[in-house]
Amino acid sequence: MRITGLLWWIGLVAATLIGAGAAYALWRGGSPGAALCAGWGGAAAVLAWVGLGLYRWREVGWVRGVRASVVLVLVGAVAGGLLERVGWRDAALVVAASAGMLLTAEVCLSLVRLALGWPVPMLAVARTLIDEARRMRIVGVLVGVMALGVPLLTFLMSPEERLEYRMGVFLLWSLTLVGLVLSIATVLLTARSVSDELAKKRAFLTLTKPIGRASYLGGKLIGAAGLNLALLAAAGAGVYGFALGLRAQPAWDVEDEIAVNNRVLTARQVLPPRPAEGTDLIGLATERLKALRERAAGDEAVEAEYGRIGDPPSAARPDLWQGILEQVRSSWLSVGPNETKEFRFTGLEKVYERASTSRERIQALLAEAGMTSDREVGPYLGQLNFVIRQQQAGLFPGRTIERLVRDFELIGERDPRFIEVLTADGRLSLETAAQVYRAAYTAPVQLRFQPEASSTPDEQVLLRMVVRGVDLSPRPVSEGDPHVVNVPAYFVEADGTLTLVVHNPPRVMGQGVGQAAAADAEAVPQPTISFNKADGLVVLHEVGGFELNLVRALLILWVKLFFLACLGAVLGSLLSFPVAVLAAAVAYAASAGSASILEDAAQYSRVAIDEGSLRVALAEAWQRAGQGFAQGEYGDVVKVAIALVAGAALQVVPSLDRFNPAEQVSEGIRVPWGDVAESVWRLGLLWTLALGAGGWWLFRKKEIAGASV
Amino acid sequence: MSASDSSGGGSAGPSGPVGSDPADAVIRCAALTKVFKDFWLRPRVEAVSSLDMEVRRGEVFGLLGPNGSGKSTTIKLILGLLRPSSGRVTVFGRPSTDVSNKKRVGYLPEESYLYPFLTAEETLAYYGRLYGLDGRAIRERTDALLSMVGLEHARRRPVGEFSKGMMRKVGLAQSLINDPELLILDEPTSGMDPIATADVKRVIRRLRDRGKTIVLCSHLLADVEDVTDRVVIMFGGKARRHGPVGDLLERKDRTVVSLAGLEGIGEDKMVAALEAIGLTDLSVEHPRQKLEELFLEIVRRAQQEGVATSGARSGGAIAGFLNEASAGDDERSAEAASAAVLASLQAVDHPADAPAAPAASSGAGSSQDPGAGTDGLTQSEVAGPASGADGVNDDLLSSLTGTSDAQPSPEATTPGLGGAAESSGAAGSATVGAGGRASAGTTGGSSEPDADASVLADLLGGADADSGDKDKPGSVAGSG
Repeated sequence: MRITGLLWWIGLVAATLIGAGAAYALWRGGSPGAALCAGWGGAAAVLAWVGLGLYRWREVGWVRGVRASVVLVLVGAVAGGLLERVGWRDAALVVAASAGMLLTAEVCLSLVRLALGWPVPMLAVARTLIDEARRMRIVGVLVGVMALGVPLLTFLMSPEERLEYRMGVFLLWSLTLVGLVLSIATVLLTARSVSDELAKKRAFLTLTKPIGRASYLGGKLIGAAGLNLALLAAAGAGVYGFALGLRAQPAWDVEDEIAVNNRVLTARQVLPPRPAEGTDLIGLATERLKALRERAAGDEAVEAEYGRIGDPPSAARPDLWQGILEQVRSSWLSVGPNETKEFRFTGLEKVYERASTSRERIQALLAEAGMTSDREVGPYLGQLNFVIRQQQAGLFPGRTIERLVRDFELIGERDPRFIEVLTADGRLSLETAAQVYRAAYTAPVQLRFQPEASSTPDEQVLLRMVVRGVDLSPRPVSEGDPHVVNVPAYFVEADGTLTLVVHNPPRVMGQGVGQAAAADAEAVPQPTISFNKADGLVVLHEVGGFELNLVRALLILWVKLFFLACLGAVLGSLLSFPVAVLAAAVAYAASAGSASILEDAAQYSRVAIDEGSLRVALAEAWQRAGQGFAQGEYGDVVKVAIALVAGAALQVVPSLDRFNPAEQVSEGIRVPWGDVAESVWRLGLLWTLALGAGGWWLFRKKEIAGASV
Repeated sequence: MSASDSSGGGSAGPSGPVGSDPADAVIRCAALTKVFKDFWLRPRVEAVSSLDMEVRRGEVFGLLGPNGSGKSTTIKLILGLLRPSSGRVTVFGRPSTDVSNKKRVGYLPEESYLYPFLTAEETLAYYGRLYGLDGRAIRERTDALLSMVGLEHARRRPVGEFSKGMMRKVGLAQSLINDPELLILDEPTSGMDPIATADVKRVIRRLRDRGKTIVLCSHLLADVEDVTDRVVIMFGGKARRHGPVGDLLERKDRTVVSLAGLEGIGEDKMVAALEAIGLTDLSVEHPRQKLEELFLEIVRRAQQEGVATSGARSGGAIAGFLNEASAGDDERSAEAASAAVLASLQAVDHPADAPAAPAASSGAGSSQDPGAGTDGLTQSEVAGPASGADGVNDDLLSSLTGTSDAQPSPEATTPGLGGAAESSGAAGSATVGAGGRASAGTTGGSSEPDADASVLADLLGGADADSGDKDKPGSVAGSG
């Protein structure tokens, strides 16, 4: 019998209704076993009928898509199930997840194709590019690498590592992998699509239809954007799914478990410190300028640059005034020997609100344990967690919490109150202690600092970082490395301010925390400790969720891919495929590494081409080149010339490394909407339009057909 | 030169565009020159040189020339793929690069520049979308066009798997998806089998009948000759000759008389009789069936027997949306179309079968069996000088067919697939053609003695063409 579409649909509906109806009737009639059989039979019949339809109309476009989806589901379910059965759980997960990502990509691509189905010439070109991409082997391989690579990344790290670390690394690597793979695929696809169509003359036919050359290139761009949207959706789903899967794995301890949620799978804002009230940075800078003018009084050259005594600060050359301001800020972020400075972090009102809840919860928990509830446990929670971990691990059976605390010298003599808490052993159970810990750190504030010391014999510095009378950093820490200290949320004042007092005390070699210095101990020369003005001393606090943060990061990546698609299409329209890809790769590398290339070039030539003002850089270069000639050191002149060429070349490529949100996501730092908007504006509109307009102008001038006589 | 000049006999050598009605001109090339330059912008090749050409609305215009003569370059200039080095080319009165023009143009390139990964129907849908057609229109037109080119069965196969001929068919279909007013066909029958070639020619004729303007560029001169109204012959980037095909090909110094077989008479007697009336330089030939005819017949029979093939099949009716003016024609089945092809190919042999020239026929429409005309045919051809024999030829016609006043019907003036069914009666009929145009109507009035006619009648044994004797047609050509 010939099966028509209508007949097939009738059969499908009938099989579904009959199976479901029979099962329902049998269940209602009190025969659950028979109902189950009927249900399974009906499901099998429906599946068989669906399979028949997929085979019968296997050449119809949308049926092919459905069939691919069904195959992916079956592969994921069957292969994953089998691998699970034989005990290869990880492999099962990888297979199932890869199939899931490909399925998501397939569904998203179908939706994108549907959206591009409008009878608009530009969209027709876009849709055909997607069809082409689906058949391109290299794109298939790259998507396969992505679909396999993301799941595999979760298994590349040792389970012995902290979960927080594994999560961060997974997010960083997976997003980097996705970005890299899609960048390569995008450039290859667009460059090849356009250059191939011109070389194989398919464009002859397309461009004899009512479509302009701008629309043709635009269509390629839209197609690549649609394709990337679908693939990024699939990749995003994969990354998110695996992040959730990773989170479900056992953490090292409570602190690790909480850190995953509070430091990685979150979106935190980075707050720099503000000077304490009464600190006038502008005033300090003005004073410094005044002193400089006084010293150089009468020197016309200096006065021409910095102004005369009595002139307002604006009389100084703007870049020089900015330089003085920067110096003042830097010195404000330095703490001299025995000096104490106060830094204020404001705008933490939301944190305070959440802190109230957690404080109440902690007090309730302690009260339940029969303990007085007026004790401040926050500063001791790190130690408490350590103890909990030892107990849970069963490493020291029979030891009480108190004993452990004393054995490991966790608290010291300075903290008798905490000893009291812990010695209430038996009342504060491990479980309660863990709950207290969680409650305290549900929404913590993180203090992140990276101390730089002028000179230290052991690369260690001692900083007293005190919040509300509690020393958060009681022992020496390594200089030059970033350090993180959790600050309980309820340390924030009601007005949303967190006040940090930093003291640079004298230190004695080998002196432990809470220990008296040995009589013959050598005193360490006290260095000046400073913090980098960008991120040397910051506070991080939660302002959003991981999901939206990931979406924003993927949006930025999408915009970046949009620009790369334009780059590939434009180069493909002007050059042959290999040359276009090579040129695109060079441009991409220059864009992605522009900051470090400029920095290297600046170091090489000793001309500050990596810092803001082009005029200053040119003046400096001119001066250095002049010196080189005068002293007969022509090598210096060549270096300056190379640096200037590099600097000029990098001026005409956008700095793509500015738009790399993978690191932010992996550190749980919020990717602001402002960054998304900036990427859209600068990269998606300005640069893409400029590149596209230039490419279109050249393409418009180009004669598509060549000599054929 | 002007290819718009329709004066008889065509013309050679360049001249300015003839002042025909500009509104009637679909394509105008004025002093069109294209010079390709090298990297250093030095002139490398002058592909087209001062070409003046005009293609008028509703005509089939042939662009002929050997390889490298500038035909394809001219087409690319017309399509806006190249820009003229000097001179001007306009399409529908606008510059050739004007995108809005392209909605009215269909183009079949010399090779099938199709996306190999798209199926036939996806290909047509793609090009349909480029014209802004909505989904429904695309579906309808895709169905009609694939049916027309005989690729309905392969609609869901990727084009990359197709044979060259099948690709050409998809290419032809895409060129028609927008129902173009101007159709530019570059080597449309290249790579196609005789059936497909016949189909293409049928399509071209039907489109011309519908008022479409067609520019045809081909090396296969027989194909061009069959369907074009006017041609320009290019060499070295210049137009060497132009004019109506019939005028260019007509040989006024030869006359062909076609008639049923000479059994019972003998060729010697025939020649003697003709010499007796003063005709000299006579020759008698027996036309052979063309290999193409034989091929088509074999394929037709195989199709009738239902032999399966995964390759291209014979095309069906002209797509309805191209044919809105006469919906009745759409219902013509594929078989009927094939029959028409056969019938047209089996029509009486004419030395110069110009489209404008009426095919002389008597007993027209006597046979609807496309194969009938070829069965048992023994044609003879007697060629002789035509000069001064017009009256004789008229009498010959009268003697042989009994329809000396017969004038060709308008339908019969268009030979080939479209009009073939109408003129198929010519096959197997006793037919007399005189003059280069092989038409009884072109031979002029009668002035020769009746005695000559009676001699001929005796010689022919009273052969009655009206009776539809399809067994022994023959043709006589002569000059004298």
